[in-house]
Amino acid sequence: MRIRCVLLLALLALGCRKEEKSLRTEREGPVTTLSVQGAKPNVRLIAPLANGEWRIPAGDYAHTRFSPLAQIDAGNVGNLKMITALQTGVPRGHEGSPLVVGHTMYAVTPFPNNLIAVDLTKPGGQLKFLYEPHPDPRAVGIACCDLVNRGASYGEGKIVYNLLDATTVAVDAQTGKEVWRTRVGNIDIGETTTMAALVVKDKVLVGSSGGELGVRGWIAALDLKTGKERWRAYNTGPDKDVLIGASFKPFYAKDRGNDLGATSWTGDQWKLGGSNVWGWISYDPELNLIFYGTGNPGVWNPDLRPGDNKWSCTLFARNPDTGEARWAYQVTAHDHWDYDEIMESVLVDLEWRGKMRKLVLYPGRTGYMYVLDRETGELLSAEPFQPVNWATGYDLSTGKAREVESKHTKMGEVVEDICPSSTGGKEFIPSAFSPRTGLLYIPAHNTCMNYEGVEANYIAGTPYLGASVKMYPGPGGYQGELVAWDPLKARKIWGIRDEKLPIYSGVLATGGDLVFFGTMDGWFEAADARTGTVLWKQQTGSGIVGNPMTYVGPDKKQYVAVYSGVGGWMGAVAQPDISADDPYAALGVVGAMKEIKKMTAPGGTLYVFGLSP
Amino acid sequence: MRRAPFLVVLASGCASDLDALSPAGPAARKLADLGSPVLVFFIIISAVMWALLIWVALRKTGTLAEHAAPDAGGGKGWVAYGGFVVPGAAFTAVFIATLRTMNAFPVDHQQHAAPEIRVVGHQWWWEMHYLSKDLNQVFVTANEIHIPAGRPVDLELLSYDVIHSLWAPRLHGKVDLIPGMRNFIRLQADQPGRYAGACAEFCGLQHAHMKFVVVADAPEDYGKWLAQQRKPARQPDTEETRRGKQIFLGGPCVLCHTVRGTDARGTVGPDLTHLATRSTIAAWLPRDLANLHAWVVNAPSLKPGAQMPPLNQFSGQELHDLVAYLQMLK
Amino acid sequence: MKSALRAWMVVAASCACARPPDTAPDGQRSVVRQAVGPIPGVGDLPVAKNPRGMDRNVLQEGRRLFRQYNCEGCHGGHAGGGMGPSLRDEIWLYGNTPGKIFNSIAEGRAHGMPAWGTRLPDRDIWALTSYIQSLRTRDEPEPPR
Repeated sequence: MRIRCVLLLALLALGCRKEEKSLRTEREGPVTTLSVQGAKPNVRLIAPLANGEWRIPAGDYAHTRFSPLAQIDAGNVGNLKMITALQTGVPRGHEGSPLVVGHTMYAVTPFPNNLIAVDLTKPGGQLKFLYEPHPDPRAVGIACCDLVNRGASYGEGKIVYNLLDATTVAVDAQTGKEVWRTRVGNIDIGETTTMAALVVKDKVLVGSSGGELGVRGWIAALDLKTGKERWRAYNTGPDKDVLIGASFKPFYAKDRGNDLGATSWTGDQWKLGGSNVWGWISYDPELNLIFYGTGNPGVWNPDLRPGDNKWSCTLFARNPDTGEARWAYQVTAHDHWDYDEIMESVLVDLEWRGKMRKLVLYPGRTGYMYVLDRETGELLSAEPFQPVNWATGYDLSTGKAREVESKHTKMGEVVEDICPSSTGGKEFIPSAFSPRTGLLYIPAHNTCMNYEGVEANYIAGTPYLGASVKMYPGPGGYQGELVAWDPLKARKIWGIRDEKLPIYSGVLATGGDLVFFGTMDGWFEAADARTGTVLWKQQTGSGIVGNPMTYVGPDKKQYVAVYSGVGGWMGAVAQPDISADDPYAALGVVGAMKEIKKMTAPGGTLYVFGLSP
Repeated sequence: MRRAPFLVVLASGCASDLDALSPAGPAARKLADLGSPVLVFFIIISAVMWALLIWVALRKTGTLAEHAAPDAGGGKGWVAYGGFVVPGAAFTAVFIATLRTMNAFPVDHQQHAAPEIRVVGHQWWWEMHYLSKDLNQVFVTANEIHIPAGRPVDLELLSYDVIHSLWAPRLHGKVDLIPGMRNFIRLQADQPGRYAGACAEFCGLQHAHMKFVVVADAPEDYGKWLAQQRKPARQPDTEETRRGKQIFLGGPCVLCHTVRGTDARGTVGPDLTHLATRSTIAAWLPRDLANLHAWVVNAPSLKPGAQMPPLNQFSGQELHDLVAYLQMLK
Repeated sequence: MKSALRAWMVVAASCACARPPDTAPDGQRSVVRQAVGPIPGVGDLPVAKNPRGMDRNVLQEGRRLFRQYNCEGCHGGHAGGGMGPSLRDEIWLYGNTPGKIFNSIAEGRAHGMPAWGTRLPDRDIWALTSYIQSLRTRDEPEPPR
């Protein structure tokens, strides 16, 4: 299907006309300094956003999704008005967020993965260029959970992002011309690429999706100049493939040993072992390490893959120059529930029990909030932020979960009432951390499931699941909650609940002590970061599954942008090609989500909001 | 227990390889130790009964007119002793003996903490997983259970479709494979040899063609067999087998069958990695050229209801090559 | 047969909805002969019948194959959709006659539906066709609960 992108540029704020002049002025230097104003004394950000741009998927390398911009605050957020609505012409799930580099905004659409560049100096934003990569349409049939793309990165004058058909492209940020195009995987065996590529120094880091099709997950680094592959680390198989060498020092005994990525599987099952990298990568320039997690092990049915199934559901720290692993921590061994651990690793330095420590805050799909030492991989705390019954807690001395035997899923048996469901206490949608409040804002779900292991048949390029899953809303009468979590006290400070739908949008925290997030029925909301009071909201027409971002426009004013356009695994139920009368459809989420069809409709729009004068 | 000669005569109606009364292992022997005396005992009772019946039939008691009324006195002792006391004693004796025998079989899951083999019953074939702590030693085969002679081997029995029952009469009694349950069986063969087995619980259309064989190997042979089975499949070494492998991997076979070491990883049908080391195909047919050809081309005509579809798209040459490849999988 | 067909055509024609003509050689795998647009001229090609029918055993077999060949993985546990479109709804991108469904399975379709015709025997494809046609009817084996 060839989509001709229709651009509908609406200039709504009347005051904008007056500001045309100032819109044309050039950006002058950084808007804020490196130190975050008003940060708590026991909090330190390692790589805060420097000027009002947004060049990489999370804004900053530490993946805090925090912007120090403070023009919009609790006092004036009520005046927030829509400045621009730009239709992407693609009725699929719009995950990720746009970028702003200089005075241009870049948006990547879901399949067919067009790149839209908008000139912010023109009133209302004018199309600068449209790049149409025409990915292989066969990729549509093997993308597990809608035809999404989670964003792009900017580096050395290029916008780099992944196409659905296991290809990475670099596009000249000024002209929209393709600079290079590298095939990184093979769609014929089920590999796709949906994650947001991350530019680190002179490399682009990409990972694959396809854990539902029995592929073998990897993360690779491409040369930013040429697109040539520099290193590739598989997440299953022998140590030489996983790039585990002398510098690999996992904290726990359970993660130590030779060739665990191969010996913790039967035979060569690791070749179908999933463990993909379809979420977020963060980077610590001080330690020169990247952090990411891996997805579910290949074939969902656990009885078909005895062993610990390393390195599935594992957090990795690697050297971005060579790919060598520094440490690994397997969150759940021998995953029973499809708890992919590909969430964002939020890197912050906090005063932990009286001592400043370099930490990873990791809200897991398991429903647990993990705090790890990012130098060693030691687990410091793990507490549930949503209803959880698959485990009673974590043993911090061994790093293992105290799993509940009766919630282990089995072949030929329906195990009932497992919380959270496979979609997790939280999905890939990223949280935000504010150094001003010291809180992590987690977009959470509350669904449970019945899970039956069934026989699975591997046919290359087709799904490899072996599970019959039915999900339904969890206890407590709500499905979604924005949780403000204190990582030091390991408890919830406040929560905003959504009764009918999960919170499936990313979160943005700002220096104005606001948190922005969206709901699956299309409301874009701003809440007080300290109290959780919703101060402003705007209906956007379609469910929000993207991540809000903020930037400073050419007029030196702060703007907030977000995609609206329902989709993704849970949101795909709103698409017309999924029937509501089969609760097992869409890998079981229809059971929990069938009402969404009545609440919102697909359709992609990029919104920009700003203060009305 | 030595077999009485007349038992041979009585048992000659059974095929000798499914003879529960010629035990070849301790479990079957326990059953035979119960079964043979019970059989003898009931034969004696039957003989007595027949003798009495014939005696009654032959007894001349005069004409019909002078026959005593049926409820005439006398004979109450026959009813009391023959009808209650003797059968009661006989059944009590057999019941106690049965309980004692049952008690001698381990059924507690604790006693089977680490089964060596997992048997999965399918409609209508058997899948065997050889388990191991070392996950790289695990492999799957079908329709042939190899065990080392002279020592007990624990098997775990599972099913995901219907109830089957594993029965190798010369080694053990029947134990069911029940969906949603784990059952166990402890097999032991005293001497190396081949011991026939069959599904003993009606499981559908082709229940009768759901057979297997237990091969008891001398311990050193068992070790060799294990080592061989753990290897990936042989590479083809002739032109025709190379073509056959191409056809196998490029055709429908890979949708259901696994050949370890290749990209064929289907799990619907039996693992064919070492097919040519097995004596049968389709859980009962002798593995020979004619049967292999016929099975590939039109399995439903040989085993109606079986899941193997008819594959009549191959040319004669292609079929020849494909079968040559299958025959090479030693 | 012919008169029945004509009668049916009258019914179809009297429908307000414009129905694309059933012109593809149903049940055949020739991609070349697959009609994409309307076929000019008068008259319809005969509609291929599913040789396996809608017998209960065939529907059960179709259901089994639907799971075994991983149709379930894409189209949902009970064909309600997921990676691939729902087969339980009224939307038939490529036609809902048995022959059209057969062709969709055998030839594959754009956007990732694999062409199963070179791998599966016709017999299995027809059984799958029967199962797909039974969805949302009273005959559907193991309907979703």
